[in-house]
Amino acid sequence: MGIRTKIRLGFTSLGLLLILAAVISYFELARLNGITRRIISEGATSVELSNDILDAINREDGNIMIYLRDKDTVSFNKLSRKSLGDLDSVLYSMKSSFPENKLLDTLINRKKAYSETINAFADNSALRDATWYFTVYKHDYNALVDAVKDFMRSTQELVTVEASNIQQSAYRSIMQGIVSVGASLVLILMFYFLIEAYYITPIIRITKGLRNFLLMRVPFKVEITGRDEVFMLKEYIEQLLLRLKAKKSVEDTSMKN
Amino acid sequence: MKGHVVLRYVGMVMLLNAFFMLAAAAVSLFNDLDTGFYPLILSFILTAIMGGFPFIFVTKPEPITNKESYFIMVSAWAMACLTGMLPYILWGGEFDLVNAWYESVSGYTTTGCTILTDVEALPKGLLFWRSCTHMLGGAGIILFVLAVVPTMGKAKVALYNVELSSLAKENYRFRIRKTMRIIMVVYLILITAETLLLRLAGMDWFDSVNHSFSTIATGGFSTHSLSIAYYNNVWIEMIVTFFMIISGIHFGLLFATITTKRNNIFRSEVSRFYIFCIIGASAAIAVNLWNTNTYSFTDSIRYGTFQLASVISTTGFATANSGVWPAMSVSVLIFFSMICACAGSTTGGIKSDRLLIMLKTFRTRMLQIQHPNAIVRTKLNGVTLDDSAVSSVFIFVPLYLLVCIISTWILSALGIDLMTSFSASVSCMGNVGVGFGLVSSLSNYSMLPVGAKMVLSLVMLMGRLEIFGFLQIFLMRSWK
Repeated sequence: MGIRTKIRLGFTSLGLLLILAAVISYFELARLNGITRRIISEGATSVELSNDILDAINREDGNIMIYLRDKDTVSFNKLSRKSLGDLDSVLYSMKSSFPENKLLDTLINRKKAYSETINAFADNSALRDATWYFTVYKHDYNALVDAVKDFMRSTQELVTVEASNIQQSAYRSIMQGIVSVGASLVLILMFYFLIEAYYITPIIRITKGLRNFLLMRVPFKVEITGRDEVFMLKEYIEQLLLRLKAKKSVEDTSMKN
Repeated sequence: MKGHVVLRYVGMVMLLNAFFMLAAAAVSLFNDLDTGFYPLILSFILTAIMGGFPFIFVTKPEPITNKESYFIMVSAWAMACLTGMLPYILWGGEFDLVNAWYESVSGYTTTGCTILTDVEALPKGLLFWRSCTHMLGGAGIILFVLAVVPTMGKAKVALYNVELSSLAKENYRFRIRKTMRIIMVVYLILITAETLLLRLAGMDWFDSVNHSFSTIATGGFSTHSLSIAYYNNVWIEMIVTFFMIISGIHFGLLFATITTKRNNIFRSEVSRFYIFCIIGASAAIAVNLWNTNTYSFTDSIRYGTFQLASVISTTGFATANSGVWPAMSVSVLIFFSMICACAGSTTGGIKSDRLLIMLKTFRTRMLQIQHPNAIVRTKLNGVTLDDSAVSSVFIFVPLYLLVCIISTWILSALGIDLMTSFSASVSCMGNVGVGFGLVSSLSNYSMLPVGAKMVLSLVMLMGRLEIFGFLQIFLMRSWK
């Protein structure tokens, strides 16, 4: 293998490691970015929907209170229909945003029970008094509000779990980058060491050998381990010196003659 | 010293590691691409590039001196441990930098003491990688390379001489190539046999392979936090006990026994002494456990024998918490975690061979005092031991104990109680893994401070390289 190939291979390995480090870090950070964005969006959606559903329940509660004061059936039916409609649409959004949340089923069942109580209230005028409000209605109202709170808590707990996953992913993405860069540094050191051992030291040896030959007539003897261009250079120098020696001895002989 | 040649041979060890990382990544791949896959595959790529890099420049094997072979040995072990920690550190979880280093050193030196509080949390790929480090370290990573790489010229002889201690070379009357082949063949046959038997006893394939790697390498990493106690199966315990004991015997003797040669385990004084120690100490522990009402009679035999075999073979598996056993049983276990099994096996510790030589020398000395004019020689297996062999034993044993004591001092200075400090030091020096106090058989090393983990990892390496090999690297300047 020639010097050029060796150096090229060395730099290719180094480049590969650095590219690998960059690619891994990029993908890990992209993944991290994705998870973070999902968590933020899920958290915001959960808070927004829970807020909407609580608003709708409170509006309905207000409608009943107003009815108990004014006894205005037309206005109550209109407002109540709107509030229950709002509740349904928020629940639909919840179902599409968090399809795997098991607490959503409880919430839907409680909402069903709550709607049935309201409908019974709307249909039966005999029920319409404060006793019904505090015994029957408040029971279903509290159950529904509790279900909303449980749902909120569960989504926030999920966010905590996801945050811990983010911590792990962040650790991995950073560590993979650090390890790859560390390995690249080791490779750079190795590269430097091998270039020093195989090229720099032999060239210094050849230079010293030539200098000693020229200045002090010390025979040119340099040991080189590799079989590449540096070795060839040494071989050619030896041949050149031999030729010079032979030429000189021919000249000396002819001068003597 | 020819550093580039050292790099070449260390590179070979790293390439071997890389191959096993790839195998572990394949395990991850076939287990629904578990979370261990990316750390393992990345570690494989990094290790392979780093290991293969020196081959660009150092294309041909070059002869090496004795000094270089020592340097290669220590660097190869250090680099194996360093690259071996990559999958752990990349995976994260309980592995920070120090924990990953500790787990890796514990794996390669076949100590088997873990820092994991929840082993089951690890993906299968990483569990397999842990067991692979045992398998590589058990055979000796350099020996593994020597056996695998066909052409290494004269370097093979030099590396073989430093990797195998003079005691381990006993009982091998073959050329180096055949000796290494024997070691590897015996190693692989034992692993295969144990895997099959454990599978028959009810373990699944994955656990069988991992526990076989661990047992034959006398390591101790299990795929469960409760170690062998997890299975609560007498058959599994019996199989593991048998293979732990067998793995503590000189592999050359095992080969000779299988091939019905004359120089077999029944004729060897060392292996007979080792078996005698196991029977005697197991009986003593069982009687002590039964006498103190710790267990019923049968359970005393069951747990006593298993724990003793686990400690004396330096494996470190557990079926019971020996940390709560009576003082006499604990002291017997600590004594045998210093002595351990026979040279030429995968075990660590002082070795039964050295204890036997010491006892025989003591007897010789007594006879010499009784008969001052008589010429009394110390013999082992009918062969007279030369003075250098005897003196090396008498230098090694005090040095071994000195390292244990210094380590105990350091751990105590770090605020660890004396029992934990001493037993952890002895356990790590002998590559046993099981200690007492905070680091008892069903416990782990996670609660130790960072400094203690670093000291113990150094002690594990010293124990594995039998002190002298490790110390040579610090005496390179005086080695002209």
